[in-house]
Amino acid sequence: MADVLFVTMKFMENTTIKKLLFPVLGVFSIISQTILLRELMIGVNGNEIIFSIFLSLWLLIIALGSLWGNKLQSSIKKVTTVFSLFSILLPTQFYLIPLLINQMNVIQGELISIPLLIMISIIVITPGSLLLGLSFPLLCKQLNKMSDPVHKGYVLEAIGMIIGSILLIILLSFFSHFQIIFLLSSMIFLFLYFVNKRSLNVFLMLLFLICLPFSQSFYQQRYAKKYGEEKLTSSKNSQYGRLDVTFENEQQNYYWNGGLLANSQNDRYAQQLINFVMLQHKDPQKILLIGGALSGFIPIIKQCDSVKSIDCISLEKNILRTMPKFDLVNKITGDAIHYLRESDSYYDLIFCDLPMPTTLNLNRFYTTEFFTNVKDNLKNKNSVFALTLESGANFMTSDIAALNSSVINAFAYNYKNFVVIPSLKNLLIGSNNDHITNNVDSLTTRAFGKLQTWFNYTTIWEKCNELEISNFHSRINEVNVKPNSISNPVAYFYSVKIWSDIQDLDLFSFSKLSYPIKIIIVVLVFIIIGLLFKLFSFPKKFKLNFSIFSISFCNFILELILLNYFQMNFGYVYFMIVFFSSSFMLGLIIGFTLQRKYRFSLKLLLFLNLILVILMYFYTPPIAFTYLIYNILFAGLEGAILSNLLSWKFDTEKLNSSGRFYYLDSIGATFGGLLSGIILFPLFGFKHTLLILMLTISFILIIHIKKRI
Amino acid sequence: MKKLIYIVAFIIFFIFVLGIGKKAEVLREASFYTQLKNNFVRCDLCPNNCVIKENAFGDCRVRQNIDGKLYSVVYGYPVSIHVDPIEKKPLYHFFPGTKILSIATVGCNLRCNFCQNWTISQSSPAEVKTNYTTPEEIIAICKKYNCKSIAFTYTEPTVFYEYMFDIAKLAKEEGIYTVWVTCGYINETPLRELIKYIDAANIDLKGFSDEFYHTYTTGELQPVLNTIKIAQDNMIFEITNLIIPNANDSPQLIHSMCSWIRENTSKDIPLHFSRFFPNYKLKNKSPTPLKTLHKAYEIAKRESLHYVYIGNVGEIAEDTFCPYCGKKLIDRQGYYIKKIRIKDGRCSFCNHEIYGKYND
Repeated sequence: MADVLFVTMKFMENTTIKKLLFPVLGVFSIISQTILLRELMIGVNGNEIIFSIFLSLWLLIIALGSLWGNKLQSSIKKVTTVFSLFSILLPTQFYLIPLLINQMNVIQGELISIPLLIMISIIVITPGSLLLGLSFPLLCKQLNKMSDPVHKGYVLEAIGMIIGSILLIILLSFFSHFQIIFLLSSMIFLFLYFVNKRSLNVFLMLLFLICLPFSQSFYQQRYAKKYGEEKLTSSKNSQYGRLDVTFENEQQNYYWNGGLLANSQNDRYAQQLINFVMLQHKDPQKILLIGGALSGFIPIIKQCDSVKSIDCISLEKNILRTMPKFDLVNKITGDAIHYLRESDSYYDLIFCDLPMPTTLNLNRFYTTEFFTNVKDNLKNKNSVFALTLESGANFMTSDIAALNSSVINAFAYNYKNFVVIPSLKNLLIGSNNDHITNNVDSLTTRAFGKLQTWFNYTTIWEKCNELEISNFHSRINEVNVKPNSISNPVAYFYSVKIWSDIQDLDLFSFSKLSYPIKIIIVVLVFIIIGLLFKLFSFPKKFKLNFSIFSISFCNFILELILLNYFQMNFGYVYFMIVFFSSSFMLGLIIGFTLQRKYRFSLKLLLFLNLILVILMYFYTPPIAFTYLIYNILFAGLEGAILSNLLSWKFDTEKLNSSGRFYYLDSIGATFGGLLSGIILFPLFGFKHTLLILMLTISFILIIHIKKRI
Repeated sequence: MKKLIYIVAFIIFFIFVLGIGKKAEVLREASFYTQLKNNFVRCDLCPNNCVIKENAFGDCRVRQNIDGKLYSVVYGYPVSIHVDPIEKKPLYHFFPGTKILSIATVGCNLRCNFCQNWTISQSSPAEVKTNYTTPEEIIAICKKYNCKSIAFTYTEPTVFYEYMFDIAKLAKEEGIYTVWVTCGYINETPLRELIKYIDAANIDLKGFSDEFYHTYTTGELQPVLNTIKIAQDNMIFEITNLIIPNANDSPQLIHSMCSWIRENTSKDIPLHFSRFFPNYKLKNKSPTPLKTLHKAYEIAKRESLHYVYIGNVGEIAEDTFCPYCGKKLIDRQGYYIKKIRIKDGRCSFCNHEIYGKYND
């Protein structure tokens, strides 16, 4: 036994193994937490705000874990125990998601309330995140004999995250989420065996591998209970999400990331929307359908004799595989914005039927930029573009009206003529010819010989009578909102507001203030903080900590802005998103490394950071490559700044700096994620959020302009 | 310092002037309430029987206690005015094929988590700006659009009782018919007063169990059943049951409901099974499968109900047949009436009386 211990201790002195633990931590944390957050989002059918809450909770708990880790004495045994615990807990965390949702008396199909969501996420996220947070300072203390252990730790972990991101793409192509968790845990035990040579690790690794083939069906039995009496017949994952198909009493229902997307037996919806659109073009031949692949539109479109081809595009390949087969239909997998930019195809009619823009990603399809994109792909001046918009059944609240108004104003920017047909969803139809109409008599004449159960003379009169149209326009005119655009996502804001109304939350009472007042309040906050700094002598350590927190806060938000701009200009292509995020990590590593070598002054770095933000405020072209460059530059600057601040911290606190640094970094990112998702992006849009970031960075620069802390 | 005082005084004066210049709201005292001690009031309009403290609102959000008196704050403030086909209410046995002017204010005395009209039923008056519209103006709009009748609908008309009552009374004088589309959640006394001026109603029997009402609507079943029993003697009415998958669609529940309708009202009362579509807080629940609706239809037919319809579906069971000779009397395509074969309220084939009102 003593010999075994001696050999183990000798082995543990091997710093290469210890160094490898960092990238392993990086791989492990990025894969496990990405999958966990994805599963949580699917379980609760989350939107951007919910994602902000989850992400922030995750970062906060990691931060608390790192503080805890700071207080502990480190040993390799502790580190391996933490890794082992995490590997065992991970499948449990995962399984808790559907278990908790089903157990908490949630009515099947009902939106989950925010307090319940937060409770579920705390229970699910805490065990793993706490352990992850704990790991970093414990690992740093293992490198105490090396120079710059914390720097090295940061860089190595970042490398692991890059590897993990790429690995995740590959794993998602072959395994389900739960299977990936089992695979990951077994790999960790394999690695731990090389660290401490304990046969228990081999046993656990084998156990997880044996369970791997059964894991998915085991999880599925619990997961399927989410749908109550509906029988889950298929559940397919991809990089973009999950498509579930259920079956009940001869009706198929399609759920995308936990939310109801479409169902069969959808004649009423399909007939009313499609027929109104088809009547707007005399003889449409080539049609593009964005969304609506499963909504039963195609049989209605095909009833028009002139139609020769229908291109149906969806980001999710599983949706296209699930839709029934039709001739004349050409299925295209991909992001519609990316497709329209790259494609040489021109259409007589483009029809877009997507969910409400409750995410920034969906908001892209309701912007001036997208409508311009679409216009470039219309065949000629007779071509028609139609879009559906959220509507109230018999009344539009001011938020629904504002949502419609922002999109209509964006629409009007691109189309000489447009009409609205208030329907189950409002139909916005635009063209550069004046053939389009919502006049009852004209539509009735055109509809002759094309009547169906849910599209007949009564339907036309009911939707398009004078009172109905004037009601609609008077509601729109009462609100008068700015056009929706990528940098000013007004439609997104109102969609989230509508969602928060349904949730009985009053998240956006601040929004009732006028825009100049909002900016004044933000500026006042900075002035007050500045005055506090001037009036009180805060310890120098506090100023340092505040700087770390603020830089992480700003750069997290910047990264989110850049990612959104990139997505919106390039398209939502998963591989490119991973590449984009990985390039950020790479930039961070480069920044860290260069700073260690050249020791730039903090003031210079902050000043450059400020200049770059100002440049970005004024220069946001529709070129995706620009944002990639910005991304690397910002990441490099952030790496350099954090490295600079870390070295000051390390000078005073030595190894205790690792936990506190990780804590401050994570807390800054927590607040950045939360504030950006809930307040900054919805209320201010991207452009004006950049203004706030400029103020923050300027502020940090000012407090450092005096001598070094 | 002096300048500062002048500026502050000016601002206060300005605000005061703005306040005086503001048009006073038109409030109408509520019809059914009881004054209690300490300026509390109890609203007696619906089974919620809210006890309301000063300045507070009832559960419906539209009846407010002001200085110990209860007021309807939505009197004269309709938020929705539309012209609909009467089949949309749904009313299939009351002047089929005609147009109906549909109005509603905000507010509702229930909190159904599947409400289609949640944008108005779950709003309060402060959240929605509308123009004051007198009952006379409502009648004028009705005439302008050649509507045969006026429907109080969309939200729960009980909550704007006084407005509904005054319009209904005026409509009667003008020869316009009135329709009440309701969840039936109203107390007996106001009900008996109201139905003197209502010609037809559609009563929403949401589910045939207290458990369903408690879980999905915050109401109770029995008051609705009481309303149905009282209404049947006084007007044409039809019943709607919105079938929600795995909530109120069990065959036992539907069977119980149909038996109750047959035993407590009449086999002639039309029953509509309506298809649920995701809405409000039940956004992720799938629509009702057609087969579920067919099964409900079969159960109702087995209970010998004469007129059973499936709504929001089209084609299936939307036509009216004579329960005696079996001939098709009203041919519908959605809300569109293709043909009516009823003459003077009787089957054109066998001359049997057909429930409903078809002529003036």
